[in-house]
Amino acid sequence: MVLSPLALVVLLAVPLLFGAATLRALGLRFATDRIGYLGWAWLVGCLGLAVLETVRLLFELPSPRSVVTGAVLASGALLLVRWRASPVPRAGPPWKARGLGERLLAGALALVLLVTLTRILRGSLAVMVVDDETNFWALRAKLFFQAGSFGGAYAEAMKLRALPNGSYPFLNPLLQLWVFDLAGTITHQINRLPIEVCSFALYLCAASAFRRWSQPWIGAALLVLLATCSQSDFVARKANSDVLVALGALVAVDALARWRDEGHGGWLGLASLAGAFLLWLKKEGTLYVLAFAVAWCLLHARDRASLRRIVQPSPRTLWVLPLVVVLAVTTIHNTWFDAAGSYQLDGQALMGVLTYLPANVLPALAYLFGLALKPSFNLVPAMFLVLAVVFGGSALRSPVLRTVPLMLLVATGVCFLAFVKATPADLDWLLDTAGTRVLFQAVPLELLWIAALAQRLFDASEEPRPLETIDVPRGKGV
Amino acid sequence: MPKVVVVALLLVWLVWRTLAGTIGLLGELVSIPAWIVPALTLSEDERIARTLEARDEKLGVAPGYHHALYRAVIEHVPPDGTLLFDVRTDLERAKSVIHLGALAFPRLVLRNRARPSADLELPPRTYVLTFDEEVRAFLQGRLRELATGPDWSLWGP
Repeated sequence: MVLSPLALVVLLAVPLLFGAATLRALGLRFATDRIGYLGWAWLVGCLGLAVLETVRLLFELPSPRSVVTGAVLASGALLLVRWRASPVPRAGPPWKARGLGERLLAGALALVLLVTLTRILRGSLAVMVVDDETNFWALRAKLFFQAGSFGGAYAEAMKLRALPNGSYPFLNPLLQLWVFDLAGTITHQINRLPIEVCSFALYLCAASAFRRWSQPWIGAALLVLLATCSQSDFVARKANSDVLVALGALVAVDALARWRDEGHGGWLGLASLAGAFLLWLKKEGTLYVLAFAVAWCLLHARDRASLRRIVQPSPRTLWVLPLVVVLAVTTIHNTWFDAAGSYQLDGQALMGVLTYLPANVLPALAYLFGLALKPSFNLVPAMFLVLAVVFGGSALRSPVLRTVPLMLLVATGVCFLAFVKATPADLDWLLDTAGTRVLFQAVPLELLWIAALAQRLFDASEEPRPLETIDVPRGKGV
Repeated sequence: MPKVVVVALLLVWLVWRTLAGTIGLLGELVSIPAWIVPALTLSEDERIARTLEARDEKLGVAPGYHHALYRAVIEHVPPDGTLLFDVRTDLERAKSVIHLGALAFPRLVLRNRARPSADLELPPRTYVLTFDEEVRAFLQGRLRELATGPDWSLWGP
């Protein structure tokens, strides 16, 4: 064993408890949503852990001691925070233990989590030697570990451009660095674990979101579709960032929609942290955040009052800060090291698009449509497209969920332009390697939108499902 | 499109794909006995050996070929050393040696495509892995042969 059982417990417990403390400060408790809670805690904890690892590298502190101490101190401080959001947080729809829908959802969730565990264990038989997980993500983590700072071997590699795509955000490598710190050495397989756990988090958060916006039986069906979608198996046993993007996008949109629906400030906080998580992952994460903002503005272009409310400073404007900080960290890092990477938005990229667009547009479109219609993707993108065209966004009550089709259209459009800027000779390779990944990242959001639409179509009543009020003493972190 | 048609389409899709998906998920569980014991018990070195064996199989070389290469690099090239490997050959397995770079970190693994010239001076702490007889002859007298395999040799100061 590279990690002792105690180190393995610390590896998982530190981010989880740090995340739980943050959720507590936001007024979100286990009783708020018994399914989604652990997934949110893991996401928020990973973000917090990455912040602590960044501080540790900046000040060249010894780890894991400094990270564990930082997590304990930060968690303690968060538990002391009395967040003044809404007086009483509301839980998700009541859980009817004997209801058929609930039983189906519980069964589907148990099956999906069990299969995810088996995928991770089966994947653990192969160490990291090929693929982006090795060449981008793990290599940067190894350089961080070797240097123990942003200088030394790391700075040297950045200077020599020995690190492919050096301008990528680096939350993923910081999570792997956490494993190296605990092992006291570079590992070749167990460092996937923090990223693999995000697959569990994705299914927990998806089950919670589907149940929140639809009937449990629909949620059960959609959860199975998500877990059997092409790439679900691959991302569960690799340390690539795609599952993190899928998780971040789902939680950000779901939490934002809950905030608009319920008014509880904790949801806005969770959405903000999930947005920061997205921005720190890879360029697709940044693209989703921007695409949502663009889609929102386009849909509300005529509603001046709504737009004015967004730009007017208020206490909740402070929730932009986590996103700004993460963007600033990446920008400062890239400026400092003069980092480069593929998919830079510059004149050369624009020239690439203009030069190769005529030759690439049809093959790229044919490939992506073919992929969307493949049973391996459970036809989710195709069904989403059909439903979005037939019903548009207006069929849904939630203004946030109404934004999803346009958001995905914008994001997919930009990704498409990134594909077609490749030379025709490289196009097939690029579509084969990146096309399926990009399509997968959007699947949880597509399913969430389908869940909410199905609720409207199958349920005769136009009202959303009632929420449960949980009994929490006032002034106790809500 | 009438609403009832869309609802019917949605239902058919949900039932069809959910049933197919559930069968697929249960199918994944059936294979557990075949791999669960090694997955829970193997050390990281054994997992490395297993991964490299898969590479042997893929490239049609004798079992243990890539593991022997990996062991030679780990044992003979110091962590701060540079491994230069010759990729002028057409051998696919020679090109795949770059995969060992991830396992050999922090050793720097560089590909060489240039033909060695008579006045070539190798920097200190540079090691050479070659599959080529011509390069082998060139290295004789300049470096020491540290390890050999069926068609490769590792040279160092």
